Amino acid sequence: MKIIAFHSYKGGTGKTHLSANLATVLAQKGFKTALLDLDFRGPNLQTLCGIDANITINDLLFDPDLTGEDILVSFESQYKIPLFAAFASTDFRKMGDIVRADKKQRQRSLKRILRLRDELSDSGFDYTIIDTSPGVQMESIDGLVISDATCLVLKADDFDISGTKSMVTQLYSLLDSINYVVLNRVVAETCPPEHGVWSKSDIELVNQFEKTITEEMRMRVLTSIPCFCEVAREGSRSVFSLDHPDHPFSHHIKELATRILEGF
Amino acid sequence: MGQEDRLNEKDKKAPVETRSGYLLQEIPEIIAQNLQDVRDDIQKTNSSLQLMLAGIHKEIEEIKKLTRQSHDIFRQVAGSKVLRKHIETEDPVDSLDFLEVPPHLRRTFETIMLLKRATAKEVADRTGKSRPLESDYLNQLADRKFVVKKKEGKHVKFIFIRATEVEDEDEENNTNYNATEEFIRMRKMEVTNASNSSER
Ligand SMILES: Nc1ncnc2c1ncn2[C@@H]1O[C@H](COP(=O)(O)OP(=O)(O)OP(=O)(O)O)[C@@H](O)[C@H]1O
Ligand SMILES: [Mg+2]
Repeated sequence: MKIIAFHSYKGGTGKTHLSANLATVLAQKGFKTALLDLDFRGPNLQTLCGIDANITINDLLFDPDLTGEDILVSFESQYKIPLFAAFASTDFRKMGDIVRADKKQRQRSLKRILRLRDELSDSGFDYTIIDTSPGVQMESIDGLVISDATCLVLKADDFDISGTKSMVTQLYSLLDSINYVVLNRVVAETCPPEHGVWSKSDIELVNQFEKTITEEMRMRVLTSIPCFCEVAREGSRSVFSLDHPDHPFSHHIKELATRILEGF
Repeated sequence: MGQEDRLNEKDKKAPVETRSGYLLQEIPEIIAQNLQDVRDDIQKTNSSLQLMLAGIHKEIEEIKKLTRQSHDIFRQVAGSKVLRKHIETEDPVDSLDFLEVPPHLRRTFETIMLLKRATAKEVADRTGKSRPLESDYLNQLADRKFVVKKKEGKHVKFIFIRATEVEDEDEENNTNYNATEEFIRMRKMEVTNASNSSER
Protein backbone atom coordinates (compact mmCIF):
# COMPACT_ATOMS: atom_id res chain seq x y z
CA MET A 1 0.00 0.00 0.00
CA LYS A 2 1.17 3.51 -0.83
CA ILE A 3 0.14 6.60 1.08
CA ILE A 4 -0.22 10.01 -0.50
CA ALA A 5 -0.74 13.10 1.65
CA PHE A 6 -1.96 16.53 0.59
CA HIS A 7 -0.59 19.39 2.62
CA SER A 8 -0.07 23.13 2.36
CA TYR A 9 1.43 26.04 4.21
CA LYS A 10 -1.72 28.15 4.18
CA GLY A 11 -5.37 27.12 4.04
CA GLY A 12 -7.78 27.01 1.10
CA THR A 13 -5.30 25.80 -1.51
CA GLY A 14 -7.43 22.83 -2.62
CA LYS A 15 -6.08 19.93 -0.48
CA THR A 16 -9.52 18.59 0.32
CA HIS A 17 -10.72 18.77 -3.29
CA LEU A 18 -7.57 17.25 -4.67
CA SER A 19 -7.42 14.41 -2.14
CA ALA A 20 -11.09 13.46 -2.57
CA ASN A 21 -10.88 13.63 -6.35
CA LEU A 22 -7.59 11.74 -6.51
CA ALA A 23 -9.02 8.99 -4.27
CA THR A 24 -12.05 8.77 -6.56
CA VAL A 25 -9.92 8.56 -9.70
CA LEU A 26 -7.72 5.83 -8.19
CA ALA A 27 -10.80 3.84 -7.15
CA GLN A 28 -12.23 4.32 -10.64
CA LYS A 29 -9.02 2.75 -11.95
CA GLY A 30 -9.91 -0.25 -9.79
CA PHE A 31 -7.50 0.36 -6.92
CA LYS A 32 -8.85 -0.27 -3.43
CA THR A 33 -8.48 3.22 -1.99
CA ALA A 34 -8.98 4.79 1.43
CA LEU A 35 -9.46 8.50 1.95
CA LEU A 36 -8.54 9.74 5.45
CA ASP A 37 -9.47 13.12 6.81
CA LEU A 38 -6.71 14.20 9.17
CA ASP A 39 -7.81 17.83 9.01
CA PHE A 40 -9.15 17.75 12.57
CA ARG A 41 -9.01 21.53 12.85
CA GLY A 42 -11.44 22.29 10.03
CA PRO A 43 -12.75 19.11 8.47
CA ASN A 44 -14.94 19.26 5.37
CA LEU A 45 -14.66 15.85 3.77
CA GLN A 46 -17.96 14.80 5.40
CA THR A 47 -19.77 17.61 3.61
CA LEU A 48 -17.89 16.93 0.40
CA CYS A 49 -18.87 13.25 0.47
CA GLY A 50 -22.40 13.93 1.71
CA ILE A 51 -21.83 11.84 4.83
CA ASP A 52 -22.81 12.17 8.46
CA ALA A 53 -20.29 9.85 10.08
CA ASN A 54 -21.16 8.15 13.35
CA ILE A 55 -17.68 7.06 14.36
CA THR A 56 -14.77 9.18 13.27
CA ILE A 57 -10.98 9.09 13.30
CA ASN A 58 -11.20 11.30 16.41
CA ASP A 59 -12.87 8.40 18.22
CA LEU A 60 -10.20 6.01 17.02
CA LEU A 61 -7.48 8.26 18.45
CA PHE A 62 -9.06 8.26 21.91
CA ASP A 63 -10.75 4.87 22.14
CA PRO A 64 -8.34 1.90 22.12
CA ASP A 65 -11.15 -0.56 21.37
CA LEU A 66 -11.92 0.91 17.96
CA THR A 67 -10.29 -0.36 14.77
CA GLY A 68 -10.15 0.83 11.18
CA GLU A 69 -13.16 -1.30 10.38
CA ASP A 70 -15.30 0.71 12.80
CA ILE A 71 -14.52 4.04 11.20
CA LEU A 72 -14.33 3.25 7.48
CA VAL A 73 -17.34 4.21 5.37
CA SER A 74 -17.73 2.27 2.13
CA PHE A 75 -18.79 3.90 -1.13
CA GLU A 76 -18.65 0.61 -2.99
CA SER A 77 -22.37 0.08 -3.39
CA GLN A 78 -23.12 3.76 -3.96
CA TYR A 79 -20.55 4.44 -6.69
CA LYS A 80 -19.55 0.93 -7.73
CA ILE A 81 -15.88 1.67 -7.09
CA PRO A 82 -13.64 0.34 -4.27
CA LEU A 83 -13.61 3.66 -2.43
CA PHE A 84 -13.62 3.94 1.36
CA ALA A 85 -13.25 6.92 3.66
CA ALA A 86 -12.76 7.74 7.32
CA PHE A 87 -13.70 11.17 8.53
CA ALA A 88 -12.69 13.76 11.08
CA SER A 89 -15.37 14.77 13.54
CA THR A 90 -17.20 18.07 13.22
CA ASP A 91 -18.31 17.81 16.86
CA PHE A 92 -16.98 20.85 18.68
CA ARG A 93 -15.98 18.91 21.82
CA LYS A 94 -14.18 16.20 19.89
CA MET A 95 -12.32 18.86 17.90
CA GLY A 96 -11.47 20.48 21.21
CA ASP A 97 -10.04 17.22 22.52
CA ILE A 98 -7.61 17.23 19.60
CA VAL A 99 -6.56 20.82 20.24
CA ARG A 100 -6.13 20.12 23.95
CA ALA A 101 -4.21 16.87 23.56
CA ASP A 102 -1.06 16.65 25.70
CA LYS A 103 2.11 14.95 24.58
CA LYS A 104 1.06 11.60 25.99
CA GLN A 105 -2.13 11.70 23.94
CA ARG A 106 -0.16 12.78 20.88
CA GLN A 107 2.02 9.72 21.27
CA ARG A 108 -1.12 7.61 21.56
CA SER A 109 -2.54 9.27 18.43
CA LEU A 110 0.63 8.58 16.49
CA LYS A 111 0.53 4.92 17.52
CA ARG A 112 -3.13 4.58 16.56
CA ILE A 113 -2.45 6.19 13.18
CA LEU A 114 0.44 3.77 12.63
CA ARG A 115 -1.85 0.87 13.58
CA LEU A 116 -4.55 2.15 11.23
CA ARG A 117 -1.98 2.25 8.44
CA ASP A 118 -0.97 -1.36 9.15
CA GLU A 119 -4.60 -2.40 9.30
CA LEU A 120 -5.39 -0.80 5.94
CA SER A 121 -2.33 -2.38 4.41
CA ASP A 122 -3.32 -5.80 5.80
CA SER A 123 -6.86 -5.39 4.44
CA GLY A 124 -5.50 -5.14 0.92
CA PHE A 125 -5.79 -1.42 0.28
CA ASP A 126 -3.68 -0.27 -2.65
CA TYR A 127 -3.67 3.44 -1.83
CA THR A 128 -4.47 5.69 1.09
CA ILE A 129 -5.00 9.38 0.47
CA ILE A 130 -4.64 11.77 3.38
CA ASP A 131 -6.13 15.24 3.68
CA THR A 132 -4.38 17.38 6.31
CA SER A 133 -4.66 20.72 8.08
CA PRO A 134 -2.46 23.49 6.66
CA GLY A 135 0.80 24.45 8.34
CA VAL A 136 2.64 22.69 11.13
CA GLN A 137 -0.19 20.99 13.00
CA MET A 138 0.77 17.88 14.91
CA GLU A 139 -1.99 15.79 13.32
CA SER A 140 -0.83 16.85 9.87
CA ILE A 141 2.68 15.76 10.74
CA ASP A 142 1.26 12.42 11.93
CA GLY A 143 -0.10 12.06 8.40
CA LEU A 144 3.10 13.21 6.72
CA VAL A 145 5.38 10.81 8.60
CA ILE A 146 3.44 7.78 7.35
CA SER A 147 3.24 9.01 3.75
CA ASP A 148 5.16 7.70 0.78
CA ALA A 149 4.42 10.80 -1.27
CA THR A 150 3.57 14.31 -0.12
CA CYS A 151 1.88 16.84 -2.37
CA LEU A 152 2.39 20.41 -1.25
CA VAL A 153 -0.56 22.22 -2.77
CA LEU A 154 0.05 25.82 -3.76
CA LYS A 155 -2.79 28.07 -4.75
CA ALA A 156 -1.15 29.66 -7.72
CA ASP A 157 -3.05 32.94 -7.62
CA ASP A 158 -1.83 33.82 -4.17
CA PHE A 159 0.78 32.17 -2.01
CA ASP A 160 3.56 33.02 0.39
CA ILE A 161 6.80 31.90 -1.23
CA SER A 162 9.09 32.64 1.73
CA GLY A 163 6.76 31.12 4.34
CA THR A 164 6.19 28.01 2.28
CA LYS A 165 9.88 27.77 1.52
CA SER A 166 10.93 27.79 5.16
CA MET A 167 8.37 25.10 6.01
CA VAL A 168 9.56 23.02 3.09
CA THR A 169 13.27 23.31 3.84
CA GLN A 170 12.81 22.59 7.53
CA LEU A 171 9.94 20.12 7.79
CA TYR A 172 9.95 18.40 4.41
CA SER A 173 13.67 17.74 4.50
CA LEU A 174 13.00 15.44 7.49
CA LEU A 175 10.32 13.41 5.73
CA ASP A 176 10.99 10.08 4.10
CA SER A 177 8.38 10.67 1.41
CA ILE A 178 8.83 11.80 -2.18
CA ASN A 179 7.79 15.44 -2.01
CA TYR A 180 6.03 17.19 -4.88
CA VAL A 181 4.44 20.53 -5.50
CA VAL A 182 0.99 20.64 -7.06
CA LEU A 183 -0.03 24.02 -8.41
CA ASN A 184 -3.76 24.54 -8.13
CA ARG A 185 -6.15 27.22 -9.34
CA VAL A 186 -3.62 28.36 -11.92
CA VAL A 187 -4.88 31.42 -13.77
CA ALA A 188 -3.42 32.07 -17.20
CA GLU A 189 -4.44 34.67 -19.79
CA THR A 190 -7.49 32.75 -20.96
CA CYS A 191 -9.47 31.90 -17.87
CA PRO A 192 -10.85 29.31 -17.82
CA PRO A 193 -8.81 27.64 -20.59
CA GLU A 194 -10.96 26.60 -23.50
CA HIS A 195 -12.05 22.96 -23.08
CA GLY A 196 -9.61 22.87 -20.20
CA VAL A 197 -6.68 23.10 -22.59
CA TRP A 198 -4.25 25.97 -22.36
CA SER A 199 -3.19 27.93 -25.41
CA LYS A 200 0.45 27.97 -26.49
CA SER A 201 1.15 31.31 -24.82
CA ASP A 202 -0.61 30.15 -21.67
CA ILE A 203 1.50 27.02 -21.59
CA GLU A 204 4.62 29.17 -21.78
CA LEU A 205 3.36 31.22 -18.84
CA VAL A 206 2.57 28.10 -16.81
CA ASN A 207 5.94 26.55 -17.64
CA GLN A 208 7.70 29.73 -16.54
CA PHE A 209 5.77 29.68 -13.28
CA GLU A 210 6.58 26.00 -12.69
CA LYS A 211 10.25 26.73 -13.33
CA THR A 212 10.28 29.52 -10.75
CA ILE A 213 8.61 27.29 -8.17
CA THR A 214 10.97 24.40 -8.86
CA GLU A 215 13.98 26.65 -8.37
CA GLU A 216 12.61 28.29 -5.25
CA MET A 217 11.34 25.17 -3.52
CA ARG A 218 13.83 22.67 -4.93
CA MET A 219 10.88 20.35 -5.42
CA ARG A 220 9.40 18.88 -8.54
CA VAL A 221 6.16 20.46 -9.75
CA LEU A 222 3.98 17.48 -10.52
CA THR A 223 1.23 19.29 -12.37
CA SER A 224 -0.57 22.59 -12.70
CA ILE A 225 -4.34 22.51 -12.39
CA PRO A 226 -6.25 25.44 -13.84
CA CYS A 227 -8.83 27.41 -11.94
CA PHE A 228 -12.25 26.19 -13.07
CA CYS A 229 -15.34 28.19 -12.24
CA GLU A 230 -17.45 25.00 -12.27
CA VAL A 231 -15.31 23.53 -9.55
CA ALA A 232 -15.56 26.68 -7.45
CA ARG A 233 -19.29 26.87 -8.15
CA GLU A 234 -19.98 23.37 -6.92
CA GLY A 235 -17.96 24.35 -3.87
CA SER A 236 -17.57 21.78 -1.12
CA ARG A 237 -20.81 19.95 -1.73
CA SER A 238 -19.62 17.06 -3.88
CA VAL A 239 -16.66 15.20 -5.28
CA PHE A 240 -16.36 16.81 -8.66
CA SER A 241 -14.87 13.92 -10.67
CA LEU A 242 -17.62 11.58 -9.50
CA ASP A 243 -20.30 13.77 -10.99
CA HIS A 244 -18.28 15.09 -13.95
CA PRO A 245 -15.85 12.38 -14.98
CA ASP A 246 -15.32 13.95 -18.41
CA HIS A 247 -14.72 17.51 -17.24
CA PRO A 248 -11.17 18.85 -17.86
CA PHE A 249 -10.68 19.18 -14.09
CA SER A 250 -11.24 15.41 -13.82
CA HIS A 251 -8.71 14.87 -16.63
CA HIS A 252 -6.20 16.91 -14.71
CA ILE A 253 -6.78 14.75 -11.65
CA LYS A 254 -6.24 11.63 -13.78
CA GLU A 255 -3.00 13.18 -15.02
CA LEU A 256 -2.02 13.86 -11.40
CA ALA A 257 -2.78 10.24 -10.51
CA THR A 258 -0.67 8.92 -13.38
CA ARG A 259 2.33 11.06 -12.40
CA ILE A 260 2.14 10.13 -8.75
CA LEU A 261 1.92 6.42 -9.55
CA GLU A 262 4.88 6.76 -11.95
CA GLY A 263 6.91 8.17 -9.07
CA PHE A 264 6.61 5.00 -6.96
CA MET B 1 74.67 -62.98 92.01
CA GLY B 2 73.76 -59.77 90.39
CA GLN B 3 75.84 -59.89 87.28
CA GLU B 4 75.45 -63.60 86.72
CA ASP B 5 71.72 -63.52 87.16
CA ARG B 6 71.40 -60.76 84.64
CA LEU B 7 73.50 -62.70 82.21
CA ASN B 8 71.28 -65.72 82.74
CA GLU B 9 68.18 -63.62 82.05
CA LYS B 10 69.78 -62.41 78.86
CA ASP B 11 70.57 -65.99 77.91
CA LYS B 12 66.94 -67.01 78.45
CA LYS B 13 65.48 -64.31 76.26
CA ALA B 14 68.00 -64.09 73.53
CA PRO B 15 68.20 -60.41 72.54
CA VAL B 16 67.61 -60.24 68.76
CA GLU B 17 68.52 -57.13 66.92
CA THR B 18 66.18 -56.22 64.04
CA ARG B 19 67.27 -54.74 60.78
CA SER B 20 66.02 -51.30 61.82
CA GLY B 21 68.36 -51.41 64.79
CA TYR B 22 65.66 -51.91 67.47
CA LEU B 23 65.56 -54.95 69.64
CA LEU B 24 62.72 -57.29 68.75
CA GLN B 25 61.28 -57.01 72.24
CA GLU B 26 60.89 -53.25 71.90
CA ILE B 27 58.67 -53.46 68.75
CA PRO B 28 55.17 -53.83 70.34
CA GLU B 29 55.79 -50.80 72.48
CA ILE B 30 56.92 -48.79 69.47
CA ILE B 31 53.86 -49.83 67.48
CA ALA B 32 51.60 -48.87 70.34
CA GLN B 33 53.32 -45.50 70.53
CA ASN B 34 52.93 -44.97 66.78
CA LEU B 35 49.28 -45.86 66.88
CA GLN B 36 48.78 -43.35 69.63
CA ASP B 37 50.55 -40.69 67.56
CA VAL B 38 48.35 -41.45 64.53
CA ARG B 39 45.29 -41.30 66.71
CA ASP B 40 46.41 -37.90 68.05
CA ASP B 41 47.03 -36.63 64.53
CA ILE B 42 43.62 -37.78 63.34
CA GLN B 43 42.05 -36.09 66.29
CA LYS B 44 43.90 -32.86 65.52
CA THR B 45 42.90 -33.01 61.82
CA ASN B 46 39.37 -33.76 62.80
CA SER B 47 39.03 -30.78 65.05
CA SER B 48 40.65 -28.44 62.53
CA LEU B 49 38.34 -29.86 59.85
CA GLN B 50 35.42 -29.23 62.11
CA LEU B 51 36.58 -25.67 62.65
CA MET B 52 36.85 -25.21 58.87
CA LEU B 53 33.42 -26.69 58.29
CA ALA B 54 31.95 -24.43 60.92
CA GLY B 55 33.54 -21.49 59.12
CA ILE B 56 32.13 -22.64 55.76
CA HIS B 57 28.74 -23.15 57.32
CA LYS B 58 28.82 -19.66 58.75
CA GLU B 59 29.71 -18.21 55.35
CA ILE B 60 26.94 -20.16 53.66
CA GLU B 61 24.48 -18.84 56.21
CA GLU B 62 25.75 -15.36 55.41
CA ILE B 63 25.32 -15.94 51.64
CA LYS B 64 21.81 -17.26 52.21
CA LYS B 65 20.93 -14.20 54.25
CA LEU B 66 22.33 -11.83 51.59
CA THR B 67 20.55 -13.70 48.79
CA ARG B 68 17.29 -13.50 50.69
CA GLN B 69 17.85 -9.77 51.15
CA SER B 70 18.64 -9.12 47.49
CA HIS B 71 15.71 -11.33 46.54
CA ASP B 72 13.48 -9.06 48.59
CA ILE B 73 15.00 -5.94 47.05
CA PHE B 74 14.55 -7.37 43.52
CA ARG B 75 10.98 -8.25 44.35
CA GLN B 76 10.32 -4.79 45.69
CA VAL B 77 11.82 -3.08 42.65
CA ALA B 78 10.10 -5.37 40.17
CA GLY B 79 6.72 -5.37 41.82
CA SER B 80 6.54 -1.85 43.12
CA LYS B 81 5.83 1.41 41.37
CA VAL B 82 9.51 2.38 41.41
CA LEU B 83 10.34 1.01 37.96
CA ARG B 84 6.96 1.79 36.47
CA LYS B 85 7.12 5.37 37.64
CA HIS B 86 10.53 5.61 36.06
CA ILE B 87 9.17 4.36 32.76
CA GLU B 88 6.18 6.65 32.90
CA THR B 89 8.17 9.78 33.55
CA GLU B 90 10.16 9.23 30.38
CA ASP B 91 9.19 11.75 27.73
CA PRO B 92 6.50 10.55 25.31
CA VAL B 93 7.33 10.70 21.61
CA ASP B 94 5.15 12.40 19.05
CA SER B 95 5.59 12.69 15.31
CA LEU B 96 7.98 15.64 15.64
CA ASP B 97 10.28 13.54 17.83
CA PHE B 98 9.85 10.74 15.33
CA LEU B 99 11.22 13.03 12.63
CA GLU B 100 14.36 13.56 14.72
CA VAL B 101 15.10 9.83 14.54
CA PRO B 102 17.49 9.12 11.64
CA PRO B 103 15.53 7.81 8.64
CA HIS B 104 17.24 4.39 8.61
CA LEU B 105 16.01 3.72 12.17
CA ARG B 106 12.43 4.87 11.72
CA ARG B 107 10.89 1.59 10.59
CA THR B 108 12.52 -0.19 13.53
CA PHE B 109 11.45 2.62 15.84
CA GLU B 110 7.80 2.39 14.74
CA THR B 111 7.80 -1.36 15.10
CA ILE B 112 9.25 -1.47 18.61
CA MET B 113 7.00 1.40 19.64
CA LEU B 114 3.95 -0.61 18.58
CA LEU B 115 5.22 -3.95 19.92
CA LYS B 116 6.54 -2.32 23.13
CA ARG B 117 8.81 -5.33 23.84
CA ALA B 118 10.30 -7.66 21.29
CA THR B 119 13.40 -9.55 20.25
CA ALA B 120 15.39 -8.48 17.19
CA LYS B 121 13.92 -11.50 15.42
CA GLU B 122 10.34 -10.41 16.16
CA VAL B 123 11.11 -6.92 14.88
CA ALA B 124 12.80 -8.34 11.78
CA ASP B 125 9.73 -10.48 11.08
CA ARG B 126 7.68 -7.29 10.94
CA THR B 127 10.04 -5.07 9.01
CA GLY B 128 11.21 -7.70 6.55
CA LYS B 129 14.84 -6.80 7.25
CA SER B 130 17.44 -9.26 8.54
CA ARG B 131 17.70 -10.11 12.23
CA PRO B 132 21.34 -8.93 12.63
CA LEU B 133 20.47 -5.62 10.97
CA GLU B 134 17.46 -5.09 13.25
CA SER B 135 19.61 -6.05 16.22
CA ASP B 136 22.07 -3.33 15.24
CA TYR B 137 19.26 -0.79 14.72
CA LEU B 138 17.69 -1.68 18.07
CA ASN B 139 21.05 -1.18 19.75
CA GLN B 140 21.28 2.22 18.10
CA LEU B 141 17.84 3.02 19.53
CA ALA B 142 19.09 1.82 22.92
CA ASP B 143 22.02 4.26 22.63
CA ARG B 144 19.47 6.98 21.99
CA LYS B 145 17.54 5.95 25.12
CA PHE B 146 14.35 4.98 23.31
CA VAL B 147 14.62 1.31 24.29
CA VAL B 148 16.40 -0.75 26.94
CA LYS B 149 17.86 -4.22 26.52
CA LYS B 150 16.89 -7.04 28.83
CA LYS B 151 18.05 -10.63 28.89
CA GLU B 152 15.16 -13.06 29.18
CA GLY B 153 16.36 -16.64 29.29
CA LYS B 154 18.25 -17.22 26.06
CA HIS B 155 16.81 -14.15 24.35
CA VAL B 156 17.50 -10.45 24.48
CA LYS B 157 14.32 -8.41 24.57
CA PHE B 158 14.21 -4.76 23.62
CA ILE B 159 11.69 -2.69 25.55
CA PHE B 160 10.34 0.63 24.35
CA ILE B 161 10.63 2.82 27.45
CA ARG B 162 9.11 6.08 26.32
CA ALA B 163 5.72 6.65 28.08
CA THR B 164 3.67 3.55 27.55
CA GLU B 165 -0.07 3.77 27.23
CA VAL B 166 -2.19 3.43 30.34
CA GLU B 167 -4.02 0.36 29.09
CA ASP B 168 -0.72 -1.42 28.50
CA GLU B 169 0.63 -1.15 32.02
CA ASP B 170 -0.97 -4.18 33.62
CA GLU B 171 0.22 -6.47 30.91
CA GLU B 172 3.67 -4.98 31.36
CA ASN B 173 3.66 -5.79 35.05
CA ASN B 174 2.65 -9.40 34.60
CA THR B 175 5.23 -10.39 32.10
CA ASN B 176 8.07 -8.03 32.74
CA TYR B 177 9.98 -9.58 35.58
CA ASN B 178 9.70 -13.32 35.06
CA ALA B 179 13.35 -13.35 34.15
CA THR B 180 14.41 -11.77 37.45
CA GLU B 181 12.25 -14.15 39.46
CA GLU B 182 13.66 -17.09 37.58
CA PHE B 183 17.23 -15.89 38.15
CA ILE B 184 16.68 -15.55 41.88
CA ARG B 185 15.05 -18.98 42.08
CA MET B 186 18.06 -20.55 40.36
CA ARG B 187 20.51 -18.73 42.64
CA LYS B 188 18.62 -19.86 45.72
CA MET B 189 18.70 -23.45 44.53
CA GLU B 190 22.44 -23.31 43.89
CA VAL B 191 23.11 -21.97 47.37
CA THR B 192 20.89 -24.61 48.98
CA ASN B 193 22.64 -27.38 47.08
CA ALA B 194 26.05 -26.05 48.06
CA SER B 195 25.20 -25.86 51.76
CA ASN B 196 23.57 -29.31 51.82
CA SER B 197 26.60 -31.02 50.31
CA SER B 198 29.03 -29.31 52.67
CA GLU B 199 26.99 -30.25 55.76
CA ARG B 200 27.10 -33.91 54.86
N1 LIG C 1 -8.96 23.93 -9.48
C1 LIG C 1 -9.89 24.69 -8.89
N2 LIG C 1 -10.61 25.59 -9.55
C2 LIG C 1 -11.50 26.36 -8.93
N3 LIG C 1 -11.78 26.30 -7.66
C3 LIG C 1 -11.11 25.42 -6.91
C4 LIG C 1 -10.12 24.55 -7.47
N4 LIG C 1 -9.61 23.79 -6.51
C5 LIG C 1 -10.26 24.15 -5.38
N5 LIG C 1 -11.14 25.12 -5.61
C6 LIG C 1 -11.99 25.81 -4.62
O1 LIG C 1 -11.12 26.33 -3.60
C7 LIG C 1 -11.74 26.29 -2.34
C8 LIG C 1 -10.82 25.64 -1.35
O2 LIG C 1 -10.63 24.30 -1.69
P1 LIG C 1 -10.42 23.20 -0.58
O3 LIG C 1 -11.46 23.28 0.45
O4 LIG C 1 -10.20 21.93 -1.27
O5 LIG C 1 -9.04 23.76 0.01
P2 LIG C 1 -8.26 23.20 1.30
O6 LIG C 1 -6.81 23.36 1.01
O7 LIG C 1 -8.73 21.88 1.66
O8 LIG C 1 -8.70 24.25 2.39
P3 LIG C 1 -8.47 24.12 3.98
O9 LIG C 1 -7.01 24.47 4.18
O10 LIG C 1 -9.36 25.16 4.54
O11 LIG C 1 -8.81 22.76 4.35
C9 LIG C 1 -13.03 25.53 -2.53
O12 LIG C 1 -14.10 26.40 -2.49
C10 LIG C 1 -12.93 24.89 -3.88
O13 LIG C 1 -14.16 24.83 -4.53
MG1 LIG D 1 -9.49 21.14 3.50
